[in-house]
Amino acid sequence: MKMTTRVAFDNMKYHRSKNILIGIAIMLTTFLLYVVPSVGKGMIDTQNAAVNKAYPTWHAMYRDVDADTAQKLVLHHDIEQSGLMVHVGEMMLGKATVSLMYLDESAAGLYRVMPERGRLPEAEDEIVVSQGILEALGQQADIGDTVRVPYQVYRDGGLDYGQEKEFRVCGFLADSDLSREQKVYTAFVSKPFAKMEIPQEQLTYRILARVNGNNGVMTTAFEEQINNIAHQFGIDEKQIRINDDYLWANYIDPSTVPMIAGLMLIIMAAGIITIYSIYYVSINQRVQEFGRLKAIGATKRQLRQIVLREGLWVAAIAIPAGLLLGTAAVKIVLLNLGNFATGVSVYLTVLRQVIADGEVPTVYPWAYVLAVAIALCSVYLSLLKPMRTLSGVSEVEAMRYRGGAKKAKAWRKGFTELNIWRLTMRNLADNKRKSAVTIASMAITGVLLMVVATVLSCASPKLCADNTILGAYELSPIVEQNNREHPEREWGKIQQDNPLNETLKAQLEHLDGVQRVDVFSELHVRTDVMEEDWNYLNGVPEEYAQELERDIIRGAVTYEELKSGDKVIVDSILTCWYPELDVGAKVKLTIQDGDRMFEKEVEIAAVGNYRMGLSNYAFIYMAKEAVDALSDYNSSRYFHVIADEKYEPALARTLEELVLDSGNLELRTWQQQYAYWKNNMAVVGCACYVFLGILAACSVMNLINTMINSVHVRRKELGMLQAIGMSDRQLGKMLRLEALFYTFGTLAVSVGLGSLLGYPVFLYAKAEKMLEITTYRYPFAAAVIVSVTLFAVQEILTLALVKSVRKDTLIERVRFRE
Amino acid sequence: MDGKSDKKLTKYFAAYFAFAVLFSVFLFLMESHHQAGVLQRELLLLAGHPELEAEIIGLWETYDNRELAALMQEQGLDAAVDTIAEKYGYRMWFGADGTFWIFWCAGMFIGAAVTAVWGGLAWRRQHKKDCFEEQLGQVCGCLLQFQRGEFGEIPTAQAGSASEEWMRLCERLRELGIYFVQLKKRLHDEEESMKALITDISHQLKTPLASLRISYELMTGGELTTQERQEFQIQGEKELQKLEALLDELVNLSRLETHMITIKPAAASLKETIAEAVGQVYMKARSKEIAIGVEMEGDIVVCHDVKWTVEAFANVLENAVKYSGTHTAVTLRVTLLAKNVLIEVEDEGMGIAKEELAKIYQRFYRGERARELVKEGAGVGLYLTRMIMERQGGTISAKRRAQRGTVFKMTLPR
Amino acid sequence: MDTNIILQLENLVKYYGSGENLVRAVDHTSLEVERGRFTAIVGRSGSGKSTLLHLIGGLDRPDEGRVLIDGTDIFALKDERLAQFRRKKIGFVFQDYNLIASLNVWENLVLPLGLDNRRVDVAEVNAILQKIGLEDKKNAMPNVLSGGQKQRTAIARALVSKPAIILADEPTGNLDSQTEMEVMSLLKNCVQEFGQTLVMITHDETIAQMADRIIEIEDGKVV
Repeated sequence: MKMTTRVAFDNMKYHRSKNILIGIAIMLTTFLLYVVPSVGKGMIDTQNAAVNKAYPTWHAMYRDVDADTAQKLVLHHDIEQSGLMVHVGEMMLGKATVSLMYLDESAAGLYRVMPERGRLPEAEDEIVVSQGILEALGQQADIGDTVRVPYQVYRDGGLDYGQEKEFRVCGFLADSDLSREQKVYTAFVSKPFAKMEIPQEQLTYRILARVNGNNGVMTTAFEEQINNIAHQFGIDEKQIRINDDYLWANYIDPSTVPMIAGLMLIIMAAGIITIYSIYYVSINQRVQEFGRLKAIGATKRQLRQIVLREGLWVAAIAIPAGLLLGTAAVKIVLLNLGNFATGVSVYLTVLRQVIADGEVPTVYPWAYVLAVAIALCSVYLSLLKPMRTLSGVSEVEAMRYRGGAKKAKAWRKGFTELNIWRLTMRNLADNKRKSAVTIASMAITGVLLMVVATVLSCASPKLCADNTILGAYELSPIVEQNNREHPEREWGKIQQDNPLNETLKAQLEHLDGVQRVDVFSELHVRTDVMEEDWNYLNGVPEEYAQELERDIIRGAVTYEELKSGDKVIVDSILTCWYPELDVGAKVKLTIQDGDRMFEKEVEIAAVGNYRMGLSNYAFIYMAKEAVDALSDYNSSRYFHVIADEKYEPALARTLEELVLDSGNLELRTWQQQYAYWKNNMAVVGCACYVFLGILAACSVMNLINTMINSVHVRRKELGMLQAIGMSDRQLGKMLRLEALFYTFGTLAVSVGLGSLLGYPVFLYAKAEKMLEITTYRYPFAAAVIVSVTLFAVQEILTLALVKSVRKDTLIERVRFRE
Repeated sequence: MDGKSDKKLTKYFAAYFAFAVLFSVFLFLMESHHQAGVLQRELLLLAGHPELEAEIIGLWETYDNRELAALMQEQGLDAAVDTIAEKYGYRMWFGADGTFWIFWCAGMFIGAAVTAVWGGLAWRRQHKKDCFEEQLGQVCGCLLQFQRGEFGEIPTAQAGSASEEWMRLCERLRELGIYFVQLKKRLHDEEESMKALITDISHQLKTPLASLRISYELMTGGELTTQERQEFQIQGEKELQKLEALLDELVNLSRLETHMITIKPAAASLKETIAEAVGQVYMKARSKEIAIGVEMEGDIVVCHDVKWTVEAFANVLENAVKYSGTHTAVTLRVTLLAKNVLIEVEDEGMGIAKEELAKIYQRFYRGERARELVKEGAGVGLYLTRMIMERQGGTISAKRRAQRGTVFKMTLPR
Repeated sequence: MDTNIILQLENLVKYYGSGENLVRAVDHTSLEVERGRFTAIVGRSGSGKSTLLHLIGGLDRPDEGRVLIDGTDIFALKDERLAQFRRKKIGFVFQDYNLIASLNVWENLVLPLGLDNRRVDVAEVNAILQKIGLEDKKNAMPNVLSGGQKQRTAIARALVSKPAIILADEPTGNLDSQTEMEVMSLLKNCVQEFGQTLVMITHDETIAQMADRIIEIEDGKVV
């Protein structure tokens, strides 16, 4: 081994305590460097896998496309993948509904309905059924057997007369729970069959398409693209069905990568600061050592190498340890991802299954490489200054060194009487720079912690829930646009026969625990400015007039004026997307009411910033009176039930039953929102605190090192103090005071500065509407915990130091003499 | 003291007893009033609404017999009571229920606690006072002992229970005792040292005196030639001189040792002192052709007793000359230190053996080689010098020179 | 209790190591020191004199034997009490590293008083400062003092707390011969004036001469 390497190795062993601390710091840093990107990528991968398993993977379905258009459509360059479907007909069965469909392989793949056993039909008389279908038919069959199927074909715009045919089963489908529950099934038939049964001119296809695009694009952009394509081929918008769930689930926030990169930088900075300050504090002692080396002939370059290699030796041990821990941690986190989310949904079930089946990797080789590279980089960067200082030492100066580079005072007016307190103060005053460096590096982490804690504690799930839903319960009709299967769910139709009527209102108000029911109306509108997008006119009732007026940020209008129907308030969200919609603009609204559409010109009197509960995605506000006046029908869109308690199980159950019974209403409860937010925040909060906790542990290494060093440098002095009669208790008091000074200093800066900085960060978060933060709450809990932990660490440290000083100095002194 | 504490105890018991009685009576009155109040209400109700009779009676049944105290004197009530009594056979009497007893117990307990605390505090105060008086008594006893000349029994502080001042007091007493012991010892030592001195002197004198007597006897004796007689006379004369010199030294020594003569330092010129000392040994040095050199930069004024310091320096210089060979040098060097003056006397003589360096200051000590070289000498020179220097706050120390010879280093405070 | 004997060592034993490496630093040593005397303990290096001094001062515990200072068995005291005892009764002067670098001369002097919670008699301390010749260096920091000045400060500190016994471990070891004389002269003078007992370790016969009594140590035993 080269001499420098050998010397570095021995140095490492000699300065054991300091290097242990540095080692721990490196280990923690590496741990975080590995865990953060791995968990990030792992989460994304897991989600993708689950999504792709749970949902059908098509983006859009174009309906009623004739053969020619279909051919051209599938060749469009933006269409990544496409499949053809034909709705041939239906089986004639009483209780169950079984459609007969033809899907080509691609469509079957996109729709995730490949037969479990067997294959898709090819011959004219082949059919793929499921167990449920067989039960509905009242027949038993397996692959190769025949079944007798009564059916009707779609001809001439409707179901034709019944027919019967013998089919041969060539494949079996799995039945989903939903199918079984609702007794709605689909059986597959072959293309020849479809062509045979339906006349050429009437044969229309449904096309399942996947559109090109990257995952970072928002759903609306996708939708735009899909609509554009439809436009190009003359397909009516009403014939487009978009797989919203799938698109949403696949959406990855493009800000994820920069965020992770940012985190890595923070980790790296923390590591560098800690390692550097640990070196800084003990540099003075090493000057002598390096001076000696230089005197016996080492060159500057060799000295630099020794310093660097000593650090690398430590890293060589610490980095693998960190990676090992990190691997374990990542495994644990990723394997338990499913348990973080509450609630039940198909998606989550699949998620858990995907994780359980181990379909997603929990180890990422590139993450190892990245972590090691950055860790080594940090070590190198933090050693740059020490390398320069130590190699620039002059031999003579170093040899003459008597432990203490004091550009110290020669004279000082001192105290007349001394006590432990003053002794400590004096010692600290002499080491101002060291103290400052230690406190500064610890405080940085502290400040970060306080700021994050402020944001997290302001994010109250209660408040979030309050913001996303008005009142305790929200009833609304099930509204779906462009759902060909359920045309009655169009808002226009619902308006004409609105389940949210006076009877229901009275019924609700009579329930136990209900104070009142607030009603919001809504109308579908479009504007030229917003192009293809639909939005809603939000009819806000009198009870929320004050809120409406209060949260205006630009312009001015009173609720009275909003009753006229000529003035509107626009939500600031809209102005983000469409800057033309600002105060004073005159907008022509195309309003849909029932079956008719009419135009109305309104003036935007103000722009406001409103909570989600108030807007419910309807961003143009008017007084309810005005909206009702515009509509011929019952435009009540939401019944907000204001109850005595935010959640009362009996009442909730009653409402649930009511909704279930009606079949066309849906219920959102405050409790749901609250649970959702609480869970969300718990997870996020947990992750944040763990991350910060590890960073904090890193900087505690700093404190430990400073204290140890301060004792080590003065060990002869301390021994002498003991000789002239300082008792152990007094020594402990002195060390404790010193540690207390560091603790207080760090806390003062962390808590003080952190609290001060917390407020502007809070304001920023509020503006960005992160976590629905609206009110400022001081993170008392975090401050207390940080303080207590720091004090505990300091106390333990002091005790350990007193023990070690006592043992050490006496022996040391004896050996020194002899 | 026991009688007193008994009385105190009784006092507290009495207080508590009084409290207990008063409290019970008070509670009783309260309860009855309270209950009476309740009863009153109900009876009024009864009087006013006879139809509610059944209900009220029912209530009373659950309360389980209550008797009216003679507190209620309203006519309507009396009538009501009688009616009830006649109709239903209910007689109401006052009884205590659960809550009452709880209050009573609580009250008793609190009373006891308060009394105990009060008593405890008072007892503590008294105890402290007693302790204090005891301590003062101890100090008195100790001082009495000192008066009698015993210094053994010093009150010790019980660790922990005693206050800081008490411990300091004990320490001071102890040190006082030690001081007295030392004083005694010093007196004793001085006595002893006197005795020893007298013994030593008489011993020292014996030898020369003996040889003188022999000479005398021989002279007065008989058959001696004139030449022999003359020789003896000269010899006798020499011995007499030696005796005189010895006596001088001894007289000096004894006077100094017994504090008949004190050393009185005064500000004086060091140079002159040195000059005089050198003057005293100059002739002896000349006869051996030894050069005495003095290295001194300027003069300094030092606080010293000139006469005795001259004596001290002269002794050292004499030794230097005595124990050096011919044609050697003796150097006297004066250096200024921060708080002292350093006077070094360096010779090129036979030097002092390492083992003897410490012993040379002993009274009447003469080293082996010294004795060989120079027969005369009482061995008091350095003893005297050391005493002189140390009495003036100085020191003396001897060091062997690398080649040969000795350096004597003396300091004087300035 | 003979109040004249201030220090008494009874059969003191201190061994280091074991087996082949056994070092008999102090080997069944007993001695007595009279109050008010200057006693020098002489021996070559390795003879165990430093260990002996440490044992006397209570800085190290013996394997066997007792050390009695003013009649108190110092090792029977608990650590806290021993520290207090040291503060009040024993003064130390070491060969070097006597002073706290971050305190000036005055503060170094009053340090023992401060540790003992005793009031500082400013006039007294000034008198001592004058006696050792450092009154104009009251506010000086140790790093500007010469070796001799540092030792003088150390002596002054040992005097300020008025201990019964002063233990000095080769106090002039690092000094040149003139400063050595000065320091010794001061030490002897002060000790005599305040009536304290001085026990000093040295290997130099020149210094040892100045003592009232010389004790020789060889291989951990008194010869």
